[in-house]
Amino acid sequence: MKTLFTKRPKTFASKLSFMLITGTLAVIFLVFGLSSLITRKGLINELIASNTARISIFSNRLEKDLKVVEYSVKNRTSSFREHIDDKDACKAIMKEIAEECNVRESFYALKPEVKGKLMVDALKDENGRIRITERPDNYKYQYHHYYLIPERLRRDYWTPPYFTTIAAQRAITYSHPVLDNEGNLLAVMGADILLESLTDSLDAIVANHAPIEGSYLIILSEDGVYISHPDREKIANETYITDARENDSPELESLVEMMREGNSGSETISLYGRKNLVTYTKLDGVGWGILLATPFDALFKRLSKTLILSLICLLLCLIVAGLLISRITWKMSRPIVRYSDASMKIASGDLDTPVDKVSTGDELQTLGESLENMRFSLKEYLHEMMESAAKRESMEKELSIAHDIQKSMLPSGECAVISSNDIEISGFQEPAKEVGGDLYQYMMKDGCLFFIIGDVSGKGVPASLVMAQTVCLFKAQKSEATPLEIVNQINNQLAEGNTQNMFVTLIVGKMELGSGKLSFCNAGHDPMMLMRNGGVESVEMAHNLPAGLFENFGYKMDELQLQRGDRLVLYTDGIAEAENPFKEFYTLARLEGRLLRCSTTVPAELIDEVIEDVRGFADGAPQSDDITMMCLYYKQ
Amino acid sequence: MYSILNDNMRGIITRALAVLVALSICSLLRAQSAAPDKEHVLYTFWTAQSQYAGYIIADEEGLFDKEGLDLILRHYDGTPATDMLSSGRADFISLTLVDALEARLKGLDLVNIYQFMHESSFVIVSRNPIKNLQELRGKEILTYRAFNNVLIDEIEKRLDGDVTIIDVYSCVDVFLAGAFDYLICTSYNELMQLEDSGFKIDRGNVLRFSQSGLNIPEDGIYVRREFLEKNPETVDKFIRACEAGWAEAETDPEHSLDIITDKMSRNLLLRNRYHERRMLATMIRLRGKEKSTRLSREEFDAACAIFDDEAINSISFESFTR
Repeated sequence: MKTLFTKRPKTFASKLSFMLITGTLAVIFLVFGLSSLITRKGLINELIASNTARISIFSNRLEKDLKVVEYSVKNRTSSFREHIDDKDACKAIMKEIAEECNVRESFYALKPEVKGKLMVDALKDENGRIRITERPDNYKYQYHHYYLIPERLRRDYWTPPYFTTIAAQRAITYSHPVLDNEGNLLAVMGADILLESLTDSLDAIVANHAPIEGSYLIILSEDGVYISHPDREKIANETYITDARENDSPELESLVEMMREGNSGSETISLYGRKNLVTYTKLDGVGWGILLATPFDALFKRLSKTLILSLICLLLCLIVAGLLISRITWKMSRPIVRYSDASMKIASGDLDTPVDKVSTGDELQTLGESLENMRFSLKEYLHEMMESAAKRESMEKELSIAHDIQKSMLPSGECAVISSNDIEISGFQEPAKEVGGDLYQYMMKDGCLFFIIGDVSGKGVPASLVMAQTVCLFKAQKSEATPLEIVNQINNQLAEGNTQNMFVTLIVGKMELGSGKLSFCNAGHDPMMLMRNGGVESVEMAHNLPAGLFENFGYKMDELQLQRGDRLVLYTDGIAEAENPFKEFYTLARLEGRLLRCSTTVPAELIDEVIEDVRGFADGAPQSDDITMMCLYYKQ
Repeated sequence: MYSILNDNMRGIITRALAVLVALSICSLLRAQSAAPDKEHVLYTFWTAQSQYAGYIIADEEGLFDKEGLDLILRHYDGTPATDMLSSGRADFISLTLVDALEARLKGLDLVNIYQFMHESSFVIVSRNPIKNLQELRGKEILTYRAFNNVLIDEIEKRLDGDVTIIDVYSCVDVFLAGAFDYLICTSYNELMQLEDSGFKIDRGNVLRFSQSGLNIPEDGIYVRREFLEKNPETVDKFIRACEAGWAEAETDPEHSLDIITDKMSRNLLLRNRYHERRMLATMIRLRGKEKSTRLSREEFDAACAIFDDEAINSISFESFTR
């Protein structure tokens, strides 16, 4: 049993089956419980109605039996009063009363103060013979309740049950006051009946009209003593209070209290350890109470049987339904299992196995189609991805080659540093991408130093091509060419057919080593910085347009007389516009400040110090532009 | 057969026979010493009920027999208890203290040998709230005057005769029927019968005699002086058996109730176990905390004080008690 509740179903079909069966079970039990409650309520209401009708029959019968005795006495009252002074006549009247079927004994007792002290009994023996006796003089009948209460209250009185002195039978006595015309008491007449005769008669009626087997009748005297009870031992011995308290039935006490107050109705109370429906009423004439009790277990006995049978049938139906539900859910969940398998294959990379098609015409079919579409799309996408990756790899390879080519176009190897007795020049470049648009170059021709530094507009391959073209044009110059001529040539070559409007800023310089005379032409590039005598200053130069924009543009050339010890620093905007993580620029001012702190005269070391400072400033921020720097030292 | 026994075996048999003879003689002597006295009768002034629980238990459980008493317990059969004692038909009678003093005044030389109740059980039940005796002036009061007549007379005296006492056998039924508004009854019987029939009892509508300076002890056991003088040991045995009976009734009330209700059934009396249980509990309470078996001088004087007859002074406490 424990396993049933702890081991949860794992498959979707079993889960669905479990939930459906559990849900169905819950609904069935709910409906069953409700219908059972409604049926019980209906049965109780039906019983209340039938018990109310029956208690009316029983009380009528009881009243009738009592009235028979009462009338047998009352009907002879006037005759008795008429002959009250005639003892024989009175005895004859008593004999008549005693002869009545239910009466065991009749009597009359004169009021001593009016008619003298006399009490006469007419007692019927077992054979029906009547024996009339006069009570002895010392018998104080006037001290007894059967006399005193009618005398005092001028009303009829039924005594509680008592044991008869002769046969030790339980009896009750009816007594009736005989009054004169002024209402004065003359005597008390009465009759006894055996309790058994009364209850036997009632039992027969109850048996004939028993609503439910197990129902029983309780009759209480005016004093609350049991006159009739299914437990014969309680008759005459117990009152409703002693019975209720002795047998732990407190609700009986409160119910009888209500009844004695004149109420009638039906209540559900616990009586002798069983739940009972008790219908009750009060007999107004004698002040007795009558209760008809039906134990609930007797009432619901048949219902319980029906209930158990229904439950068994229900459980059988549930087992069959459970099997059917399991089969149906297994069948319905098959496509889900297939889709699950297909998803697993797709997830593992198998995009070639098609998803099984199902033709349920519902969401499951749509789900299958969607899954197949997804597989197909994934397959295509993957194919495209692979193609594009191959292309990118090829391009990256080409770019790497281009990078190498571009790098080879810059001074390298033995030419990376030109050093003579007069000058030493060195350069540095770090492109932002595989290929860049910055350029620098220098060369010695016929005792003159030619150099160029430039920055092509844009980035990437187009810029690198312009850069390569510019460097080639620079390298191809003759020794007698002036910087102006070189710039003009580069400008015209680049401008020709420049549909992309690309241009290049550049400075081309030519230094005569012996004299230190420097002629240069600036095509829109940042000014050179001259380090002289411990200071740093920008070199004044003409403001020309970048090369490549307009053919035959009229560039102007400048000259500068270098002194021994001067250092000339050239750079591209990648230095001044290098960014740190806070998007702040390095700036020319910071470059000037750094150059001021440089003590070395070796160009390569100077460049290294500046580049290191730029990298420190950038603090790992991605490089956004090519960085190029060149330093010329005019030796002492 | 004899010849086949050796000397040792013969010796053993001889010794065994001697022991048997000695034992037989001892048992005969013992039976003679425990032989019961002659038959005695204990007669109660009312029918069998829990009021006499100790005596009924002693009788039914053989406690009198254990004391070597051949005692027959009889209950009221219409003959007054004093008549039973005076005529010699009973040796022990239960009687109230007041009735015993009245009988003594009438010449019955009885002696109190066992005082069970040390509190008064008498109460006045009113249909309306009542605070003191004086509220009963001009009223009619029901009671059953079979016993304690002098006590009832004392009520009349205290009200200067301005009250009517109605003597009724079935006073509870008459009161419940609404014929009268006041009832004098005992707390261990009629008061509980009223409650058992649904009459609401509370402190406001019950006036106890003990609250009105009339806390006169009630039930005790009496014998004739002559009997006491001749049978002092019998009286001692009787008292021991009665005490044992009451002790058992107190320690095992349910078993006692089984015995009492069974006896009531045999005597063709109406019986109600719930009622008897409460009666037994009340009787034990009315016995007082001391549980003394002797009447005290103060109790005796209190009872004598309600008698008008000067002759009451001639009865000394010493002559009235054992």
